[in-house]
Amino acid sequence: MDCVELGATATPRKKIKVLIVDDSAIVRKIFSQELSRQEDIEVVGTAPDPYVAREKIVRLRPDVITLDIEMPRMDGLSFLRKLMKYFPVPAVIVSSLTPKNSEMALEAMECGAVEVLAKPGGSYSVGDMSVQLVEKIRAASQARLSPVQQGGATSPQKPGHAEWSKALRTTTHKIIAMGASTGGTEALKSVLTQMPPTSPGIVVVQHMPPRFTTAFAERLNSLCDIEVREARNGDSVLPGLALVAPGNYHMLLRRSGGTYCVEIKNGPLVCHQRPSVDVLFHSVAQHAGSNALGVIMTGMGKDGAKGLLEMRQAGAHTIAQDEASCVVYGMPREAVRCGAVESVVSLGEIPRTVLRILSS
Amino acid sequence: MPYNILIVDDSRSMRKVIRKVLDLSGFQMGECVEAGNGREALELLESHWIDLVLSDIHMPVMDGIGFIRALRNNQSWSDLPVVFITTESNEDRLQEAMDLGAKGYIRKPFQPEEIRSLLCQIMGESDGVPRAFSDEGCDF
Amino acid sequence: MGFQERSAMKDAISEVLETMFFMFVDFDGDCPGDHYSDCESFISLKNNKGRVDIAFKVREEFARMISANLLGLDELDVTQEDMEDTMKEFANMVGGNYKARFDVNNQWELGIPQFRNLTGTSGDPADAGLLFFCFGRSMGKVEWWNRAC
Repeated sequence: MDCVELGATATPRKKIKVLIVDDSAIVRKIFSQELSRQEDIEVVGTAPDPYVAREKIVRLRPDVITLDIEMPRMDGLSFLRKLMKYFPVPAVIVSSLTPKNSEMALEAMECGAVEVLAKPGGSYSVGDMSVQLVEKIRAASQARLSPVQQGGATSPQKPGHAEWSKALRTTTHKIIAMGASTGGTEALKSVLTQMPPTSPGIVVVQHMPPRFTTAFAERLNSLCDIEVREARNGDSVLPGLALVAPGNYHMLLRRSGGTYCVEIKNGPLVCHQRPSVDVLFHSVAQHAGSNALGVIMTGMGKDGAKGLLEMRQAGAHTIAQDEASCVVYGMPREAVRCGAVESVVSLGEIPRTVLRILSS
Repeated sequence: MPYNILIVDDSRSMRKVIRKVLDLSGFQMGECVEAGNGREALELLESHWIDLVLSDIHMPVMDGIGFIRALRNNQSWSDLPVVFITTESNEDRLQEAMDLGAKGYIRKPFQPEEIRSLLCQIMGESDGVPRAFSDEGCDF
Repeated sequence: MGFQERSAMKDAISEVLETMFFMFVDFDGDCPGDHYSDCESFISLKNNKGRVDIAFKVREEFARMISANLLGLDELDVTQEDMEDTMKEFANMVGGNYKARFDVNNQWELGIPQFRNLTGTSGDPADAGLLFFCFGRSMGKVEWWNRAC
């Protein structure tokens, strides 16, 4: 299995070898420049098209590639599919912020890419992008490309509607909060596609650039029994509905009379992220207390650990995705380490565990 | 810009001839692998990243039609360009191959130039496709 | 075999040999009768009513020559395997070419070619087939039969 062990000790690590695949000479130059400033990253090469990229991947064995999804000479997706088949390597998708490209980027995640990065444009500057680029390359370098039990299709058994409705009879006031990062798009898809229309309201933070979160919510909505949409400020959290935090904004849970709703707001990056899982979980701990159920899933870093601990201390049940099924076992590990987690389960077991907790 | 080629033909001689024709035509060849029938070709594709397939139709075990059908049913290879080099003269069958997405066919016996010009058309100078042939030209 | 079939077979052999084996043969030579062959490749054409078996019985010298020409090798470097393979491909191409000349309705199927070594003189009467010559020397003989199903 092509997996990079996540060492707990901070031994001096080898540099992350990066290959930049992009048809734009300017992008290749900017990326090379920005990345060469990092001590832990080495750009081993660049490629203007998939054919050259293949040659260099075979020859230079990069740890991570950045891949422009819109290349002229070969459809970026077919390239990625082949790459994952013949020379699996963690890929960071670089895409501009158009709806079509957002969809392609999501498809790329389904093909095995682990991160997506927005090309600079509009108010989103090269500087903003550089920070993200470095973060995402570091996260991708930690990714295991074939986590155990990937996706819902291989999960043991989808709980039947009868089981759910029994469990959910008295749970209309409950809410489920989920947070994920690297590898999260596929993990969330696997969990949310198993949730029934009678599910308690769900609030989700997935680290992703704006627009991509829109496309992600739309994609999930087309696949799930529940309704999934990108959250707007003031949206109520209702049974059978999942709200996905929009990229570049924080999402917080609020109480409004007898129900919950979300507040979407700007603010500083938390744990290098916006939306931040910690921000969401913190607000859930404050407003929903023991009515909430928190799930922390695959991803690099620490975002969500602190918030999940607050949730647990407020009486909420908490679940972390286990190491074997994670693309990057970072956020769940941190949550486990600080004592925020009640149950550690594999990706495929998350829906069943949620069901068990809700029915007890 | 080297291309990786898969040659599928139950005749070893024919595979050699096709390989030679590609060499002499200045085709930018990367890896070149050979299979004796469609089944073997599918197995080779599991471990080789191929850019172009040149295949016979009449073959034992799995013929060219069965082979291209299997390719089209697999997402990894659904867009893999396939050219048939065949003695097949049955128009219906050749049409079937084209309907399954073959890029073209060449009837045996062939002139080397026929292969070069068809491949030029498919992988050659057209816009947005990397050049498949070297500048030195061909050496037939 | 009728005149048309003999003529189609001549054209098929000539076209295949000239295009892919860089060789020219003719079909008028000395009286045959006792054609000597070392090996044979054969192929069948089938339809729902019957089949045509075509056999190419040739001297090793011929098999070696066409193998060397096809593969771009020196005749001395041609192996037995090369010859078998080349002879099968020769049968395949001539069979396909012959079929294309009369099978306008696409009713015939070309089979998979086969090969075997022979010893000695063909016992079949000369008129069951067609002899072909290279520089006046008989090189091989093609025989074909229509068989009912």
